[in-house]
Amino acid sequence: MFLSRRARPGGRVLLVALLALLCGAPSSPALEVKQRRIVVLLYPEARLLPEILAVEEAIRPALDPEGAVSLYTEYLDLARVSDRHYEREVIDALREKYASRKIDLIMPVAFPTLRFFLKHRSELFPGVPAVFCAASLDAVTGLELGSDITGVRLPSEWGATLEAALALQPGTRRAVVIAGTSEIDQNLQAAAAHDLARYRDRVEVTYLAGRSISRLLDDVATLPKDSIVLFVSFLRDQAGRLFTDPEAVSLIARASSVPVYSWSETHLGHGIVGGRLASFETQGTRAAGLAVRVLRGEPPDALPVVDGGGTAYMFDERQLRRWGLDAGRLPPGSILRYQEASLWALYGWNVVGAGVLVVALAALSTGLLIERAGRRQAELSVGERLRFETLLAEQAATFSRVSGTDVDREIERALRRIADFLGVDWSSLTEYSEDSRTARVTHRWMAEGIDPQPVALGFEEVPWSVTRLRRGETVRFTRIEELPESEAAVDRQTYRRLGIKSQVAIPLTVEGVVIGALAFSAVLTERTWQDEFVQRLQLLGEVFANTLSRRRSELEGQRLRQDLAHIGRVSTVGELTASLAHELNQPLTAILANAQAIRRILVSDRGDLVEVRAIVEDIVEDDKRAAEVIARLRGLLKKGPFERSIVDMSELVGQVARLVAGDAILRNVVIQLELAPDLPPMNGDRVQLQQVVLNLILNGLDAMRDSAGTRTLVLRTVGGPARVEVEVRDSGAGIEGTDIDHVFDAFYTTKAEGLGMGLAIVRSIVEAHGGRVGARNNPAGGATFSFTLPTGEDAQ
Amino acid sequence: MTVAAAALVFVVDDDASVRKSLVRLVRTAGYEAEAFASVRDFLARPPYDGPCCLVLDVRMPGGTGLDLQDALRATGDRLAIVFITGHRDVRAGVKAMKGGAVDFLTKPLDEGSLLTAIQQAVARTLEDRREQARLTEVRSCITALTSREAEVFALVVTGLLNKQIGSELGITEKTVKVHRARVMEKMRASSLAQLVRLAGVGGVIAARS
Repeated sequence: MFLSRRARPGGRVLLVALLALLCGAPSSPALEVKQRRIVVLLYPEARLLPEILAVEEAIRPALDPEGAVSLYTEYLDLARVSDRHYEREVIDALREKYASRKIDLIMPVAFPTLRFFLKHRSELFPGVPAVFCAASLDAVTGLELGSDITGVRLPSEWGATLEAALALQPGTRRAVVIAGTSEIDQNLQAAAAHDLARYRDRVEVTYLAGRSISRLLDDVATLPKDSIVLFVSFLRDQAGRLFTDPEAVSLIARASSVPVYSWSETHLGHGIVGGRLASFETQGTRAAGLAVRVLRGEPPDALPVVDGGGTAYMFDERQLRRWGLDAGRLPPGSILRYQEASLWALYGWNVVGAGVLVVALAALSTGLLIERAGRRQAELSVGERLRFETLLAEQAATFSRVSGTDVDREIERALRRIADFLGVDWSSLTEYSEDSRTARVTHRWMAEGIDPQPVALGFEEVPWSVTRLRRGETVRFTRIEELPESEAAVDRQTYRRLGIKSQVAIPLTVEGVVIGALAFSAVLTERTWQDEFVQRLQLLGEVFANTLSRRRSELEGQRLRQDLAHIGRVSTVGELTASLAHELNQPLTAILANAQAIRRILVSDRGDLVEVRAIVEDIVEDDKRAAEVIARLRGLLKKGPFERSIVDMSELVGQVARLVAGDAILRNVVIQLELAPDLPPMNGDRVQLQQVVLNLILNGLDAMRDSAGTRTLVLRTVGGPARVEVEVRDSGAGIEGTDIDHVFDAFYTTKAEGLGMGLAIVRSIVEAHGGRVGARNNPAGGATFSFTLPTGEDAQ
Repeated sequence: MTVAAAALVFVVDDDASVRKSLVRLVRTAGYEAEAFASVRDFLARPPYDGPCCLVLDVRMPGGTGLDLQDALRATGDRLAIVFITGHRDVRAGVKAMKGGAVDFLTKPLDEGSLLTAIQQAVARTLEDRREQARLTEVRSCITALTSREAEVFALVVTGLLNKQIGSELGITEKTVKVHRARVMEKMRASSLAQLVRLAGVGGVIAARS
C-alpha cells in the first residue's frame, strides 16, 4: 500500500500515515513571503475535465490564502505528445515562456504529467522542486522521483469497492473492468489490476479495454446477471473519440445490464451505484498543503509522498433502488447521496441556480475544446496557441466560477487580457436590447492614451455591420475600404468618425438568438486578423454569450420564479400536499409544545400567571393559523380566479425556454425554437400558461434522460384560424402504447420519482382556457405533446 | 437554584411559533435555551464550550438541517444533534442518523421523546468533546517529535525490540534507547502499553518497504 521512494537506497521505514496526518491538518497557516512566489500547475489535458476543476478549486485557495503566490496553469494536451514534433514544440514553448521567470515550484497533476515533467525537467525546470498530485503510482511504474519531488498519490482502493459490491450482491462471480485508451485510462487500469489481483479466487476479472464506445455499450448491455461492472476511466475510446468520465460512465451505466461501481467521487450521480470513492478535492488540498511547506523552505526530501486518503464509501440511492440493492448491506459509515425524490422534479426553479450553470458552462467549454482539438492548426506557432488556449481555458473556468456582480468585473478583466494578447487598442462588449432595436456597450477596455468610445451606438449608425452580426456572421476588416462602398457607406462614415482602422466583431449567440457582440478594434494602426485567432475568438464569444445569458436568466428567473411560486400554490394541489402538511404541522407543533410547557409549569408549583397567559395567547394564535391553512387548502381545491391578460404564446414559450436553458445544457439537450412570429394574441392567464409550457418542457427533458443519441427538444408554435397551437417534441423513448391514453391523467406516471401531476396540471389549465391537449409518438422516435388554445371570440 | 450550570439547548427552526414554544418547553424542563431562525444565524454564534446540544429542524429556507450537520462535521465540531421534522422523510432520517444524530423526531413532538433525546445529546456532546480534546493533545505531542523520534515511535509500537529497531534504521541500540526515552517523555507515556494506546489514538502506522 505504501510507496517507497526509490531514489534512496536500502530498505527503510516510512511514517507515511503519521506524516499524512500532519500534512492533512485542516488549517494551513498563512504563507510568510517576502516576494511573490511563482508556482506552475501542469495539467495533462487541454480540456477542463471535472477532475481538473476539482483539483484546481482546492489548490488555489489553500495554496494562496494571502494572494502572495502567482499561479500559472498549463494545459499540456499530452494525448498528442506521441507526436514527436508536437512534444518538441510544447517543450520549446514552455521553456520560452518561463525562461525569464524564477519558478519556485512545479505542480504536475496526474500521472502522465508527472512522467512528462520527469522526462523533461532538466531542460525545462532544472533544480525546481515539485509537488505532484492525483498521480496513480504503483509498483508497476517504477519511476525515479528525484529527492526534491514529493506529492500526493491517488488512492487506489478497488479492493474496498469490490468488497462493498460483493456485500450488496453476494451472488457476484465476475467483474468486468472498463477503461479507455488514453494514458491516464491505462495507468488507472494498471492500478486497478494490481488491487484486484488479490480477488482472483473470488471473482473472475475481465478487462474490456481498447474498444470503441458503441462496441462497449453493446458489450455491457448483455452481461450475465452474476457480473458487475467496475468503471475505471474513459477519456478516449479506441476510435479516438474523447469523453469526460462522467459522460462515459453515464452512457455505460445506462446501457449496462448490471450495476456499475467505481472509484472516483466525480463519477457519483452519473449512474454508478458507488464504491470506495476518492475525492480530487482532497488531492488538491493535500498537495497544496505540501506545496505550502515546500515554499516555506522545508526540503521536499523531508516530506515523503503521501497516500491521497480522503476516500469514503459513497453510494447513489437512486441506483440502489434501480437495481433493488439493500442499503442495509452497505459498509458502515457509507454516505448515501441523491436521496430525495429528484429536487428538480419538485422544486425545479430553486435548483437552476448559478451552481448548475457553472457546471453547464464547464461542460460547454469542454465540448468546445474537444471539437477544437480535432482541427489542424497550421498558422499559429505552438507557443501562441498554447498561450491562447490557456487564456481561453482560464477564462472559461473563471466565468464558470463567478456569479452576480463579479461577472462584470471578470468580463472587464477578460477584455483587457484578450486585447493585451491580441495587441489591439480597444475591446468592448455590446448587449442588444431584448427587442433587438438598440445596442449598449456594457463593458469596454481601452489601451492607455486611446480616446474613450461612445457607450451607446444606434443600429442606424452601423446598419451594415449590425445586419450581419444579427445573422450570426462575424464582421472583420483590416481597412475601412474593405467594406462595400455603397451598402456600408454609413458604417464607413461611423468607423471613420470613431477613428477605428481595423475591427473584428463576433456575434454572441444563445440558442440562435444574437444577444450582443464582442468587438476588438485597432485605432492607431491597421492590422490583419488571422483566421485562427478569429476562430478562437468565436469560441470565446460562446463563453461570453453564455455568461451573459446566465446573468440575464438570473434576473429574469427571479421574476418568473416569483410568478411560478404563485401559480404553484394555486394549481398543483398534488405536489403541494407535502408543503401544506408542513404548514399545518408547524402551528400544531407549537400548540403542543406550549401546552406541554403549561402542564410543566402547573406541576412545578411555581405558577406564574402572567407567563401562563402569554402561552395561552400563543396557543390561540397558532390555532387560528392552523385554521387559516385549512381554509386556504379548501380555497385551492376550488378553481382560483383567472387573471386574464393578452398573451403572445410565442413570446411566452421563448421566455420559459430561456429559463430552462441552463438545465438543458446540463442535460446535454439542444432546445430548438420554431416560434411563429405573428401569432394571433390570445386571452389567458399568463402565469398559468407559463406553468403549462414549463411542465411540458420538463416532461420532455425527463423523457430524454436515458437517450444515448442526439437529444433535441423542439418547441414550436403555430397560428391557425381562431386558435394557437403549441408543440413540444422530444427525441426520447416515446410513449408506450397503453400509456398514451392516460398520460394526462392525474397520478399517472412512468417515472420513478414523479408524482404524476405535471401533465394533469397541463390538462386542467388548458381545458380551463377552453383548449385541448394531445400526445402522440413521432414517426422518427420520441413523443410530441401539444395543446391548442382558442383565440378571439372562442376564448373563454 | 441548581448547583452546576444548566446545559444549553440550541433550537434552530425557521418557524417563529415553533421556536418560541420549544424554547419554553425546554426551559420548563430545566435547561437554558437559545433560538435561531436559520442555519446561518446559528453559525454566526460564537462556539460554546459548556454542556450543550442542538435541536434542529430539517427543512429550512437558506440551508437545511442536514447541511448544518455536514458543516459541523466538516469543521470537526462534535455538537450532538436532535433532528425535528414536519415530514416523515425516511431518507432524510437515515442520512441524519448515519451522520451521527442522536434522534430524528417527527412534529408535533412528543414531550417525553424530545426531553430524553436532549438529555442523551447533552451527554454525547460532552463525551465526544472529551474524546476530541484527547486526540488533539496526542496529535500535538506527535508534532513535537523529531522525524527520527517519530520513526522510532512507529517501530516501538509495532513491538520490535530496540536492537531490531536499530538495525531497521541503521543506528545503534544505544541511540535507539535515547530516542525511545525522548519519545516516552514527549508523548507523556509512562509505559509501553500506554504508548501503544496513544499511537492508536493518533493514528500512527508504520510500514516497512
